[in-house]
Amino acid sequence: MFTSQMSAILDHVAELQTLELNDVEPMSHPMPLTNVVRPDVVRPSLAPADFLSSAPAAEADMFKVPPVLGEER
Amino acid sequence: MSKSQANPNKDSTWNDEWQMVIGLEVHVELDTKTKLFCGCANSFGNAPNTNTCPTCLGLPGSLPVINETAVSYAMQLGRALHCDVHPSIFARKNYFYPDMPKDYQVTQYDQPTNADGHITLPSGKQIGIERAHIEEDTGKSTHIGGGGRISDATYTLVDYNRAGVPLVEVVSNPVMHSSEDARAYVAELRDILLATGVSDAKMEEGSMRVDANVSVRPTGSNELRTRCEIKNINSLRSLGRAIEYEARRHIALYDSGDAPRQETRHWDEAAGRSRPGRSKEDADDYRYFAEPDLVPLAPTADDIAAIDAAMPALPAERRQALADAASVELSATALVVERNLDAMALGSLEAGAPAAGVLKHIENNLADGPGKLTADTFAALVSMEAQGDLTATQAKDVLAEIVETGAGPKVIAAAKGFEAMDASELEILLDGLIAEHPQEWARFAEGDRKVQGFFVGKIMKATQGQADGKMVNALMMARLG
Amino acid sequence: MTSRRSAVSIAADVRAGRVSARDVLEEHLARIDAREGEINAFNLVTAEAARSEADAVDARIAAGEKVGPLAGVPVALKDNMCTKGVETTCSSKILEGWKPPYNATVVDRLREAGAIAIGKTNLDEFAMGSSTENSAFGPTRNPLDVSRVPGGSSGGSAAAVAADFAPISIGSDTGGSVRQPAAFCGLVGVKPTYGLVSRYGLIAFASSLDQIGPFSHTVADAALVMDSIAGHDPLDSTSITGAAPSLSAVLNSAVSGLRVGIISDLMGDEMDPDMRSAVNNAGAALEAAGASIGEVRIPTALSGLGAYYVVAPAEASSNLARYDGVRYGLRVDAANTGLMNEASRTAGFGDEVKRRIMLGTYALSAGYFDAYYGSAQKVRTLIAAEFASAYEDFDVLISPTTPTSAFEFGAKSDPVEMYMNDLCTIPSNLTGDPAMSVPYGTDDNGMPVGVQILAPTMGETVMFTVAAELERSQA
Repeated sequence: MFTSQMSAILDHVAELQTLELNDVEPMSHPMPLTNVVRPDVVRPSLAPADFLSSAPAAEADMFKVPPVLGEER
Repeated sequence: MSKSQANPNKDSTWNDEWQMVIGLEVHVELDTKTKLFCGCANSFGNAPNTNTCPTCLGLPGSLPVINETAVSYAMQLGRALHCDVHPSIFARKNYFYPDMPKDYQVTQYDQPTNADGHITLPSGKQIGIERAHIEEDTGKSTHIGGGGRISDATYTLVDYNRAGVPLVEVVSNPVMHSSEDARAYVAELRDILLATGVSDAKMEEGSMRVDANVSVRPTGSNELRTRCEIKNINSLRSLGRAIEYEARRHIALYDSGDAPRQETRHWDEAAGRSRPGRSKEDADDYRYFAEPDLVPLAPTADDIAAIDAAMPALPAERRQALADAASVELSATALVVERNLDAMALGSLEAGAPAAGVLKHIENNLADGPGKLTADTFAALVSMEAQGDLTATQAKDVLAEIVETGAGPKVIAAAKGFEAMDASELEILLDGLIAEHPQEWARFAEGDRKVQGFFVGKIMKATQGQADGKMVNALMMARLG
Repeated sequence: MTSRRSAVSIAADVRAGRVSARDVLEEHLARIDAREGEINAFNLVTAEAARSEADAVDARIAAGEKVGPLAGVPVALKDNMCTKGVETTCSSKILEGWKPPYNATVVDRLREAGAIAIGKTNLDEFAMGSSTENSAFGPTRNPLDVSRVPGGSSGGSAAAVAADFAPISIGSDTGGSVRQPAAFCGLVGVKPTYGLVSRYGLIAFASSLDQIGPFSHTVADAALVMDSIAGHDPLDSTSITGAAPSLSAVLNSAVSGLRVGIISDLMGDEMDPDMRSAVNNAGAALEAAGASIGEVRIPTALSGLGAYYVVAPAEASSNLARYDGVRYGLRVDAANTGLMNEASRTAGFGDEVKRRIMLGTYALSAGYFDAYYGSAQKVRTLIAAEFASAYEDFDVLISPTTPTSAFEFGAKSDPVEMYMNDLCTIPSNLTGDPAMSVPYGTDDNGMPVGVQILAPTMGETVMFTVAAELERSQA
């Protein structure tokens, strides 16, 4: 079911190709802002209890998960 | 094929038919007060998850705002590496791993902040740098059970204190061909980082992390063969060992008709070998796209000029400046700059001290630092020795005293009785001794060299050891002729 | 039942002491008690917290302290906005029970203005949908005809105001999710200029398209809310840096001399005749008030649907990656974290969300990026250029808000047919320009019809001026 729905959507999307796009710049931001930054000043952090209490599993103030597959990083 | 080539574990001399090809990716933690995208403290060693907030935890609804000092540090590093600084955009690198709060990493892909630079090694060799871009660090996982090794763990605990710490990733071109050059590159990068102050660059604490891309090729060829990325290198020594091991491993494979697979490998320092490791970053496709929650950075020419104007003297420039002033090879200046004594050396040269003596003393006698030595007192000392007012032994002694007390060399020499003893004074002494010991002198005149020591000893005693032994011998020989 | 109060009148009466905030709240809670079972507008009614806040407002007024412009006004919040310590679910099983440790900026601003948060409203899961049928907690029904959908994705917020559970509510609009339900429920609904209202704390669907906007019965109420929530937020890098326009101030400005353009590409046969005639009537009304009416062609607007259904799912596929069972939300245990991630998402996400994540992942993948995501971002530029060109000749544009009025439950089971609902609203999300829907009559089924007003970037003042005139023209 998903496959046929996806195809239908993608057919619609394929119409995009009919437009002349060679010299057009992509728009990733609607507003032409640049250089939005903040000062390097410490602000209060959350306390672990604020978010660990709603974590699926926690131990020693850390998030607990099943073993990770693969090598160390 | 020799036995040493077949077994890459054995130390062996390098086979010149092959050339190593090495590229290095170095992740540098910037020494800012706060993280890259939020105001949490950028601090090492705190209790787990105490430096976190909605943004660096990637909580639903959170948004990033860039740290202006991180940007400034990144541009400073770029300029220190002689890169071009460009307008840049951030991108998302999408993949799953538990230490990634958003399951994408915000980095720079198509348009990095810095590109096309180089590092000059102490030998003078230049290593090209492809790019140095800004990205955020991940959290840290601790594997519990199975001795802490990831493969035997029963579960994993995740701490996000490090998540969001600002990093610059410096990517070199694959143009190093020896482990020595690779080590020199990393050491030089570290010195540059310390000189600019943008990072404390401690490999052992993880504020500088080195991954090595290693391949080999037949000497003389320009091809780039399959490379492996080696991770988990925690010191310069490990870097050297890992490269040597890996290159030999590749050669052994080629020699046996096989070939290395392109893969990420894990360096095991204790065992002295690398192991294959399929890191979670080996996803085939990161689906990079421009980060919609951030807007582009557009540094101005004035921004870059201000950075250049404030740039401290970097190691390579300092070596070159000293080499020019002292008229010596670049390599002769490396140790001086490493010891932070080049300013002292330049000052001494300006005060008229001869270069050879300046460099010699710095290398041999100032390993523990200059103490209270100044350019002027140093220059005076070196000049005294050069003029023959002090012997080599005396000069070393006086130097040590200047370092400790800060007094001038002439004063110290006088206090120690290191008065300049010129030849005429010694002649007078010798005359006296010859008169007192005619039989011994006659034996010396006939060729008895053992009795030479008798006269030298007498003169040394008379001058309380301050006579230049070489000069005494020369005077005695001259009397014979 | 007491008669409906507007936000403007509540604020004035509460401030003047003519009615207590608590009494106003109880009126609305009583209506919720009476009809919420049938409507299902809310995921959570926060009655006790609301009572405390109302009492606090009354205490401040009694003490002669200054209170904000929305003091005592109940407001319903779409359940994709973070409310500290209060469940925020995005109507998804994957966030069921999750309580954020922080407030969205808009939530904080409403509180500072004195508004009383009355509950979290239902939505299509993760804001993906046009009917609120995609909620994991059951659909919301259109209070004007419970056999019909209220629209989506902000169906709960629209229904809450339509049923007078609150005079105002807040929704989010990514492809029309405030304007379309507003049209379906006979309300005013606003999508501001991208960046005018902070997205900090809005759980992201498509980051470059999402905007928060109000629902109300009147243009004045919408202006009052906008004036309280709009403006720069240092926590949102994409928020505007200049001053936010004051909208309550322009509601009586004249429209004479304004140039109004009807977008003829959005007046074709796929639009119900009642929708088209509403637009023409609206045009005539504005003309009667002194504006000039013309027609404008914006052909690329029709490509918006294709571009949207690439960009939005692509960004969503990345924004929703974080729901992996590690830090919050639903976790289905497994042998390793990779399997846990997959199992949690399979169990936690509904079909529409899964569909869009797959679509989005595909659109971003190597080899397809240029054809899909890359092209779609370029189409946005083309659409924006055509609109910008149109705004050289017109001050505002008008079009239908939706192709039809509210449809019956289950009527649009084919996703592609459902997506067509957004044809008129999507272009403004792609360009970032503001747009709003105002109710303009009813259709043959007796269901409300919405007319959409579109304006150039940061053109909210002219947009609200025209909206106010259209509202007056029906009085």
